[in-house]
Amino acid sequence: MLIDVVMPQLGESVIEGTVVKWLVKPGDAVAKDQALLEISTDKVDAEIPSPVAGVVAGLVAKEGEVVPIKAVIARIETEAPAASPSIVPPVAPAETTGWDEAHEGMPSWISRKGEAAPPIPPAPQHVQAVPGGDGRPSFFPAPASGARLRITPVVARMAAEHALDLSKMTGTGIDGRVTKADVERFLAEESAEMPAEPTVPVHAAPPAQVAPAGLASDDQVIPFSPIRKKIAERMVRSKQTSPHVHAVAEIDMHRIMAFRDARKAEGTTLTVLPFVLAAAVRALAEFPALNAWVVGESLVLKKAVHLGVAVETERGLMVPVVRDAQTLSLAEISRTVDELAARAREKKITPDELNGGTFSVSNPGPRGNLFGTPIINQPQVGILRMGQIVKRPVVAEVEGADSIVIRPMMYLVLGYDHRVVDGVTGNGFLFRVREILEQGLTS
Amino acid sequence: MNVAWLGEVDYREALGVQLDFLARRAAREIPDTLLLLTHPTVYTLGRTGNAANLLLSETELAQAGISLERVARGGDITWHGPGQLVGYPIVLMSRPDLHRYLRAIEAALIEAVARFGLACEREEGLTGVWAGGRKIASIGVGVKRWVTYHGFALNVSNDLAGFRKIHLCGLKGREATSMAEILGATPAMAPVREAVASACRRHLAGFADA
Repeated sequence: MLIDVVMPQLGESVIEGTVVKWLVKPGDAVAKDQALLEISTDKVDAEIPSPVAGVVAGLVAKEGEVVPIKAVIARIETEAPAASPSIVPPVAPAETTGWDEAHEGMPSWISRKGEAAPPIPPAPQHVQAVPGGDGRPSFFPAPASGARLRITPVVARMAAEHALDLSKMTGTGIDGRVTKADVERFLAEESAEMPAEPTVPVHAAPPAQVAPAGLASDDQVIPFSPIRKKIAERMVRSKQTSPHVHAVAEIDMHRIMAFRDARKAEGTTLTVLPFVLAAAVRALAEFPALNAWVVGESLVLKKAVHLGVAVETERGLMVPVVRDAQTLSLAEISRTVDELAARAREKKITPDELNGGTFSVSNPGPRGNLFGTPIINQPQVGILRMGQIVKRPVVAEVEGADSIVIRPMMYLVLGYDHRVVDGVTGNGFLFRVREILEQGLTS
Repeated sequence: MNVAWLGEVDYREALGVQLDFLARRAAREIPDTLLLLTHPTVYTLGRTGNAANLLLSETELAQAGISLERVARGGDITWHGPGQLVGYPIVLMSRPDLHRYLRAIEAALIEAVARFGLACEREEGLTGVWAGGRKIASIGVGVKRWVTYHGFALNVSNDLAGFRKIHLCGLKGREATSMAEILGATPAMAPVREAVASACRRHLAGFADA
């Protein structure tokens, strides 16, 4: 049957609305409550959901057109009689503005009662059971089995007042009914477990399922940002995928620091990071198993060395990639890292610059503490993590004799995937990185 | 109504959060929720708004590092930034009387600022809250699946310079003011937040069962 969709009255004082945009076109199948169009009145933009399921037979109003309320804006052909009593039970008591449920897509609680569809169809008993029958939304989800809750009005009211999920309670009544005594026992147990909270009327502050119990009013809730969600997901996945093994080297950085200080005197400021990157690139050439990805049940040895460099930004951790690092000099690596880090912090980095790394280095900076155990950036198999550089007394051979000297020392940790990298390879690689750094790198 | 304080949230991220809450509210998984937050500096333009009401060029915006977001709410152009309390009530409307809803937001804000000794009022035909002819709070609302999103922005202690670069809400010659400007002292955000939360709990309750 053909159903007219009319411009809904969005308020008693509203007499017309502007059709901003149609979201469907003639011939489209639409579900009940699917958004049909966007309309606009002053200060309010609204998406109008379809009152019925069916096929769009025609759009009567055009985009940009100002349409008075109750005027027909579209027609929808339904397969079944739309107003079948089995689908749409009688609407709530008639109201002054004469709302027409069948035509205006009003989301009344009543019309949802009979629907078997998700997300949460409260069983009809809830409404009938609530004294006063005000149809107020109840926040107890339907039982998972789909079985109807059998409760008395007293129990329903108690559940509403205390915002209880009756489906989670064990009933001791006939057929497993939840009785008043069950609710009282449940409340007593709950109050014994939980800090007392003032009872609030359900319409003023029903419990949030978004906020776990025990939130204080001055707690701050910080929803995950998109980047945080991604970080979280990747961290968990990596830990679940790879058995991480960590090896630690202690490295005498005095030659690196001396070279760096000399360059600084010439006016070029270098950080330690590019030296570690350059050393890693050279060592990876000798230990190709660490410049690799795991794909399915294969180890893919990568020819090019694309170094992921972990950078802290205000939005969270980002790992821009220095491409073809095996072709770059120390100075070029240094320049590339600086550029990438700046772009990451200014949010100008492109997805391409974050993808495709074959090995990673994390540099937490001067406050990076003694050492840490980094998480592998999947599908890579290894990651180096720099500790802070600290001057320490160490024993070194000076002019043929053991002496205690002051040296800038750094702990460097290699995390590797023990599925594919054996200890001899992992340790050998880290030892080689140490040798290169201790010998000093100048280009 | 639940109230969540989110701190400073990027405009686009906050929109995503609103849509998450909206979807869950539409599915009746959560109660009505008021999201309170602040934004980094941004101009936003409602769909029926006119970009000509922004008196800055794209280049000037880019130089200042400020973005202009076009959004599906009612209303024209406005400014958001630090020191301004933004509220996004995610409220289910069982009978969409959106003008009553707009008036309820106004009533809540008038009541909230009154606690700080400020007398504000409505102006006939102009949505928003006004103090001595100057606008102290802007309101713009969107509705999807009969659940509201977007909401209001109350000038607490923000710099008002950002408003001078626009025809505020498309109204030429109208100026913005803030609680700090009128009080001659900067109120802390936390008590304002509390006052707004409690006024909204009262005034925005019961739209689902009206």
